[in-house]
Amino acid sequence: MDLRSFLLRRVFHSIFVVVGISIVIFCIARLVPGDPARMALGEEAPDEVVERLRQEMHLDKPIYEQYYYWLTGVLRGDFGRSLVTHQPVLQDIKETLPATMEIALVAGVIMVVLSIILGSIAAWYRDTVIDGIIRVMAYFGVAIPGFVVATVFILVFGYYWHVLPVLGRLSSNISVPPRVTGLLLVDSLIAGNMVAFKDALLHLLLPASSVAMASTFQAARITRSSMVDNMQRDFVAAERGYGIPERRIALRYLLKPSLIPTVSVLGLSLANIIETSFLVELIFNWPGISRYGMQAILSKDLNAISGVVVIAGLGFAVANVIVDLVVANLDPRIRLGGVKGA
Amino acid sequence: MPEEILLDIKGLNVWYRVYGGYLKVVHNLSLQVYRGERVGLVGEAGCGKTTTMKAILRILPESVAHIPRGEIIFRGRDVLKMNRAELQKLRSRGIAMIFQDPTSALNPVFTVGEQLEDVIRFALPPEERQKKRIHDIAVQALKEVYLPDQERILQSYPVQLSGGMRQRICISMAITTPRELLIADEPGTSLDVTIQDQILRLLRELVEKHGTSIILITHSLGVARQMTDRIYVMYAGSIVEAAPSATLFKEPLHPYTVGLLASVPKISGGGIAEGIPGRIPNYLNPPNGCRFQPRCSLSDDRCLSQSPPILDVGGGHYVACFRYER
Ligand SMILES: Nc1ncnc2c1ncn2[C@@H]1O[C@H](COP(=O)(O)OP(=O)(O)OP(=O)(O)O)[C@@H](O)[C@H]1O
Ligand code: SF4
Ligand SMILES: [Mg+2]
Repeated sequence: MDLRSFLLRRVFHSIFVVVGISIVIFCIARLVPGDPARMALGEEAPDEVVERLRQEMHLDKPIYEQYYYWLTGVLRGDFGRSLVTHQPVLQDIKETLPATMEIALVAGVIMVVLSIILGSIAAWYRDTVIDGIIRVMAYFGVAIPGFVVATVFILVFGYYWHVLPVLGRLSSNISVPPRVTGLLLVDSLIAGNMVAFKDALLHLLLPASSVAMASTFQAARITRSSMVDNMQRDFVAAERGYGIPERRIALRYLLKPSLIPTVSVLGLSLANIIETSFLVELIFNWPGISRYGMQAILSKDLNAISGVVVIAGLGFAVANVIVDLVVANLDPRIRLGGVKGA
Repeated sequence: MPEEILLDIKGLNVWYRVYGGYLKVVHNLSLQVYRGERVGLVGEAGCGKTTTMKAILRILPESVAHIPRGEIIFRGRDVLKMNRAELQKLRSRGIAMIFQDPTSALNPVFTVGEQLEDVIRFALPPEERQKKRIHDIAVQALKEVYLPDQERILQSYPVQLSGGMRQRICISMAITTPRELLIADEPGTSLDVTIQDQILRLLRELVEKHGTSIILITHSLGVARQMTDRIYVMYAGSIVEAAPSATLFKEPLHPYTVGLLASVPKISGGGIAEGIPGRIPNYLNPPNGCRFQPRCSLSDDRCLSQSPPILDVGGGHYVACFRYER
C-alpha cells in the first residue's frame, strides 16, 4: 500500500465519520424536548408566527426529510441561519473559528515541543531525581481535568500574581489589527504590530496550556518509555560502536524512532483535546467556536449546533489525517509497508 | 605466530542489573588477540559472547550493565579508563563490530545511506569530511561486500532489503575505513546456509585483503576450524579452553570441549552442546566453584568450592580444569 492510497482511504473514512456524526447530532438535537421556534421567538410571540418559522425550518416534516434539506444546503455551503445571532451559521463560524484555531495551534505547539523535551530529559536522566520530578508532574498533569487546570491557572497567574491576562483575546487598550486571517498572531504580524502580537500571545498562553496539559504529559511519558526502550536497542549500540558522537545519536538516531509513539498518542487524544477546549473557552471567555456551540446547545439553535458539530468533526478528521501523515513520514515501515524483502 | 598483542582482556566481569539482583554473566574472563591473528570464540547460546564483545567497545546498555572488575587493554590502553576522545578514536579507527542480528543493528527509520555515510563521516578526520568523498567511500564499501546497484541501496530503508543484503550492509559499515580489529558476531547465522557460506567467504577475503585481526564468534566448531588460527571455548561467562585451532580439534582437554566435539557431527557440523546434558547455570546465583560443575561427569569436591585456575599445558594450549593440575 503506497502513501497515496493510504491517504485516500483515510479521507474516505473521515467523510463517513463526519456524515455519521452529523446524522447522530441532527437526531439528538431534534429529539430533545423543547420547540426551537418557540424558544427563538420567545413566549410572547403569536402562535401563527411561530408556526411560520417552523415551516420555514421544515420542522413540520419528518426528520429524514429535514436532514435531506439540511444536507443539500450544507453541500451548497449553506448551513442555515442561526436563531440566536440571526446571521447565516457559516458567517458565525467564520467569525468564531479563527479564535479557536489559534488556541489549537498554540496548544499543538506546546504539546509537541514540551512533550518531546520533557520525555527526552526524563529518559536521559532516567531513575534520577529529575526523572522522578517529571514523573510526579505527569501524574498530576494527566489526572487533573482541563477545566480545573484552567481555573487554577486563572487564580494563580491572573488573580494572585497578576502576571498573565486571563480573559479574552486582547487587552482593551490594544488596537485590534486589521482582520486578514482572523488569527490575531498572524494578523498582528502582517500589520507589523508587535505590541498586539505580544499581547495576543500572552492571552493565548493560559488557555492553550490548559488545553495542552493532559496530553502533553501523557505524550511525555510515552516519549520517555519509547526512548528508554530504544536506548537498549542494538542499533544504538552499533551507532555508538562505529564512533558516531553521543549527542548526534541522541538528537537524531534515538529521537526519530522514539517520536513515533508520541505522535500516535497525541493523535489518540485529539477527541479529548477538543472536549477540553470547549470548557476552556467558556472559562476564559474566549470568543471561539466552542463557546458559540455551547450557547447554541443551551438555546436549542439547531442549525448552529449542526454546523459546529460538522466543523468539529472536520477538524478532528483533518487533524487525524495530519497525525497519520506525520507518523508515516517518521516511519518508513508504515509508509512502505508490504514491500518487505525476503 | 605474530607477537604483538593487540587486545588483552584480563579478568573481565560483567553483570546485568535485573529485578532481584545482578546477573553475573561474564566471570573472570581473559582473552588475547595478536596483531593479524584470526581468533575464534565458541560457546553455546547465552554464554556471554556478545556481552564480552560489547564490553570491548564500551557499548553495553549503561542503564543495566556493570563492570565490577577487569581490564580491557587495547594497544596498551585500558578501554575501561578511556575518556571520550580516546573512545571516539578507538571506535572509529581501532575496533569495529559486525552485529549478530543485522535487522536489529540497523536503525529502521533511516536510510542505509544516511546511516552508512554517518559512520564514514565520523571515522574520517574533520578536514576530510566532504559530502562527495563520504558518498564515494559509501559506494565503495557496498561494492566491497558485492552489493549491486549501490545508489539504490543507499536510498533504501532496511525494511526494503533482504536479510542477506542487510547482513552485507552491516559488514560494509564495519569496513568503511580501516580498523585494526574486526569483531564478527555470528555473521550470517540468521540466514540460510548458502548465504551464510557466502558471508563467511566474504569476511575471510576482507580480513586477508586488509590484514585486519578478527574475532569470529560462532556456534559452529566447523566454521571456527576453517576460519581461525586460534580458538577460545567459552562456557557460562568464562574461557574454559584456548588453543591453536588444529590442536583443539586433535586434543581437546576440557570436559566441556570434549563434550562439544563429541556432539558435533564431524567437521562442518552445526548445533552446539545438544550432546551435553544440563543447561547453562542461572547467572543470578551461579555455582561457587567451577561453573561447569553441575554438568561435569568428572567433578569432585574441590570443583564445588573453588574456581579452577587457567593451566598452561604447553604449545599455546590453556585449560581451566583441576584435572590437568599436576
Ligand atoms: N541487556 C541485558 N539485560 C539483562 N540480561 C542480559 C542483557 N543482555 C544479555 N543478557 C543476558 O546475558 C547472558 C549472555 O547474553 P549474550 O547475549 O552475551 O550471550 P551470547 O553468548 O551472545 O548468546 P547467543 O549465542 O545467543 O548470541 C544471557 O543470559 C542474557 O540473558
Ligand atoms: S574443574 Fe571440575 S567441574 Fe570443572 S570441568 Fe574440571 S573436572 Fe569438571
Ligand atoms: Mg550473541
